[in-house]
Amino acid sequence: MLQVSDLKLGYKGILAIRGVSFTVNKGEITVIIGANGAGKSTIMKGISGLLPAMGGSITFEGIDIVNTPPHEIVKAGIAHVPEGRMTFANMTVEQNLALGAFVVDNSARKEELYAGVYEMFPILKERLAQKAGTLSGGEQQMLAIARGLMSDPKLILLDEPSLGLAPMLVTQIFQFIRTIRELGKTILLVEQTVHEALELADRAYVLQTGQVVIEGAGRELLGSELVKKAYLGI
Amino acid sequence: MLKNPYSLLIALIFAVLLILPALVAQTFYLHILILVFLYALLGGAWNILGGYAGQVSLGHALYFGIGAYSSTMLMLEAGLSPWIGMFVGMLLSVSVSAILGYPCFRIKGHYFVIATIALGEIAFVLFTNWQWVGGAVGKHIPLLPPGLAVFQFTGKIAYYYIALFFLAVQLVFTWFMQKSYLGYYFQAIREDEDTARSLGINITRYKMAAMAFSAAFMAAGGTFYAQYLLYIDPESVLPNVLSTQVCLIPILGGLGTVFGPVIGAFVMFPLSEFIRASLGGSGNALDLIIYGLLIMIFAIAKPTGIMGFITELIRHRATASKAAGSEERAGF
Repeated sequence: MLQVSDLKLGYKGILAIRGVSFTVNKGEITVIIGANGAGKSTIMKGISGLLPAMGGSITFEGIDIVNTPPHEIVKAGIAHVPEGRMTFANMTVEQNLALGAFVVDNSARKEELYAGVYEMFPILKERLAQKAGTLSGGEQQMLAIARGLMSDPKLILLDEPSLGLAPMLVTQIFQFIRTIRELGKTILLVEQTVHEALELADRAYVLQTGQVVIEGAGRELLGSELVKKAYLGI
Repeated sequence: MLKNPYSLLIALIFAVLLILPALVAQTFYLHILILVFLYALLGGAWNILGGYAGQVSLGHALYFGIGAYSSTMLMLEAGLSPWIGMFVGMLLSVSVSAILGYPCFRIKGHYFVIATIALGEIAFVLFTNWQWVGGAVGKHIPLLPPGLAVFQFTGKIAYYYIALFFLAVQLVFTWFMQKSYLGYYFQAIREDEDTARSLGINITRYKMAAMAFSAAFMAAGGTFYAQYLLYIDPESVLPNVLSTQVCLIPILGGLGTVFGPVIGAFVMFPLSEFIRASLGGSGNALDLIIYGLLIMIFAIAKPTGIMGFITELIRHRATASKAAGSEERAGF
């Protein structure tokens, strides 16, 4: 569904991603793991068009989307849930969700999306009129994911959804990610919570200083020596 | 739950303002109220771009000036009614805002602010040296037999109602805007540009939309001002201090709220007029010092402005009455 090949990204002319290639298959959860500064968020920004590519290609459903403006990428069916949640703190939960849904023109479909999101996150339905900034960290993460789902994406990019959450909530978030896959969405997940992420992953890539060093099925990587040493501390 | 007492209060205030000219005999007070409405309109115009979309412009006098000069020049040179001139001025300032906005919105934050200051100053110098529009001397609008078509009236009452009408139009527009997708987009851009972008909002397009609405209302205010005073020059319609005032009014009243600029204008404008009136020439800059102080106090103690106080008060009372209500029921 998504093919990234030899993608080069950087900030102010300095290369941060020196040519990464990976594939995201339809209906699967693909995970990119890596330490701080490995360039995981940079790749996400590159795919969603927030950061212009300095080389390489990104193909989504057969169409080259490299250097397409972000609003067109969202329309094409890719939603980006940024790192650190980034909900609009001074706007209500309802407004946050509505902002996700503006790209959906069909109002019947919109209703379905709201219903789906409320079913998945009942807590958000209870807090609709509340300002997003008053939610707990876990609730804000749910809101950020829900907002992403409101654009009815085919592919959803989740950038470290477990960041800064209590272990119990992390488990819950990973449960939500499973549910999203069951809804037929394709997921590209970037994580530092390596063990849980790899258990979930259909396919995984390990990123080190801007390059893919290993790839394979999620469970396969759990057994890899490098992953064990570097990320799992075994 | 907050909406009902709120809208009732607004209707009440509006009704009072409608009958006020019948009660206030002194022209001085009517004059002050007219200017308060005008400044509330301008503050509200600025608020669309600065308060909702979060793009601070310190060159908004430019659009006010375009409005004032468009209607005046079209009347002097082509004999057109100032009402037509006003719409031409609004269109013109929207076009200018689009031309300037496109490059300016590529820069962010402080740099954007600096660019707007520069543009305001450039306009000031340009008009001061442009002989066709009267240069530094400015232009007088000739007295015509008064009437709605020529936008000239004897006495202040007609101006009072026109200013109130303009303000009402702007408030109704802002009210619907903030509830529409435009308002959502503007606020999302203000809150976090990158996230807004990642949600598929075309940032530059919507910043330019905010600027266009803002510029159009500024221009309408400019025409009103020209027709009210019947004399314009760069010093009165394009000064830097006007750009600053229109920004301070919503900050004082409440940024990104519909009625904040109105409250801001009602507090700020009479204050400066009375200081000036009571201290005469020596108090000339004192009102500016007081503005500055007020802004500093609000920025530190209450960034949500006077509207912040009011909404908190209403919310507080609502929860208090709810609590009291449940106690009563429990008592039964």
